[in-house]
Amino acid sequence: MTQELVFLFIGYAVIWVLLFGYLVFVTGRIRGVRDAVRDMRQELDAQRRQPSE
Amino acid sequence: MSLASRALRRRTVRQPPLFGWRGLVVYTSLLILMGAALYMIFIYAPAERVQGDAHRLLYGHVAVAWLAFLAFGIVALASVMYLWRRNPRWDSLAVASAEVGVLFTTLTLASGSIWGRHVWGVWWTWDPRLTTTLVLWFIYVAYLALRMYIDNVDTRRRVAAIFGIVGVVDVPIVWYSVEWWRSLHPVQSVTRAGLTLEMVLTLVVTVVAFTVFCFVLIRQRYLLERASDEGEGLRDIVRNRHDELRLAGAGSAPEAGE
Amino acid sequence: MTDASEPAGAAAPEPIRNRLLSGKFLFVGGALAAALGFLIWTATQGAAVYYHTVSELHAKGDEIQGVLVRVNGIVVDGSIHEADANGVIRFEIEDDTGVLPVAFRGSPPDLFGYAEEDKYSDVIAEGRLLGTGVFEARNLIVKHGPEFEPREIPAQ
Repeated sequence: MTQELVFLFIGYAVIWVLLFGYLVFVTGRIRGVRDAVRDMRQELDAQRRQPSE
Repeated sequence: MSLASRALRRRTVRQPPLFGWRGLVVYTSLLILMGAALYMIFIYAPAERVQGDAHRLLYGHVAVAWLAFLAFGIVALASVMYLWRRNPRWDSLAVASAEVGVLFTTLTLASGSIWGRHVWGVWWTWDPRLTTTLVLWFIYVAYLALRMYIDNVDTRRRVAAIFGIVGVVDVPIVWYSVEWWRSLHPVQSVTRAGLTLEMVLTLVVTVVAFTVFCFVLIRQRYLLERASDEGEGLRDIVRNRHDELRLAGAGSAPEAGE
Repeated sequence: MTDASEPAGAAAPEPIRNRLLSGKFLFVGGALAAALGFLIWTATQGAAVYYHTVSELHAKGDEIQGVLVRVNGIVVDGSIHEADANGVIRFEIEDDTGVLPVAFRGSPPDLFGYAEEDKYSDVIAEGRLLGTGVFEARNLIVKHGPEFEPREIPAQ
């Protein structure tokens, strides 16, 4: 009885932890990548306003 | 540079990564569905005659396995659409689904292994169903690895699309493996399973909850891929700019020495 | 200390995509693929099927002796003996036409037993057929059908 419950909880814990972990990871990465994109855009904008030549 | 200004004029991906009120609605319904599934799996569904409470792994295991198949189906579909339309959005959808599909296959293998250890007595055995599922996992891990490998964007997308379409052939093999070959894994059969109404309802709610979760994950991963694509394009432009500046400034720049 | 003194825009943009070192990656990927192929090859080698039935095993005669195989059968009612001094459990499995005595050393799976006791009696034994006609199992796997039934029939 207790052993089957242990297997049951481990099984679902693995599913939940991986799913939520992935969701948090990906959502966090979106912000990071968008920040990087914004920085690059600003840099390019600045260069466009003051052409080097 | 015309290349740079064209890229700058291109529309930025503006969809929020599920924040704001739409995100609130999606995440709230996801939590409610998941809570309902948890309640039904652990309390509402009756204990099974032989396996007792261990059979409750059935609901999650079946749900994640089906969603893995669905995700790889989306990979194949999006890959076909990409080859037809050559719109990079289809390619992004394919990557997103492939990664989520690999995640769900991992969950299928893990939950099956834990369940198998209890019911069969072994964590793993080279049964046709298990073996073909592991092969499916490797196919799409290879798909994701392949993408990191090819530097040219168009080549990468084209090769990946072909790989994504060919790889999906393993899905029906996994599905029918238990009927084609002698197998330890039981056949999937709702009619033969003798599930009670409570068990069927629990399975349906669990599948719906995990499906919503799966679509949320694919959407997030898709948005990440769109942003990464945009970043990759910009990065090349910025790199070129740096090279130009360095060349132009090589003779006159006072801070040339680092 | 360098970041402050560097002119704006001179810092190389951070890579968006994490690219793995291609040579290292090829090596690891190739090794993984080779390992998987080897595992599957050894696991399925010498057997076109995942398991044999008891009668198939008997039909093969002496040639199957000492070869590592899996054999499937139903535990014969009342045939399971308690573990002896060496920790060996003896029982018999049968199919439609044959009976096979099995000796298994180790702890059996939780759900191994007789159907009347609400256990699974359909088993797969992994091991070798000895000259004495006894199947020496090194692994015992419990097989079960697709049926899932509630423990108690709910009161109407």
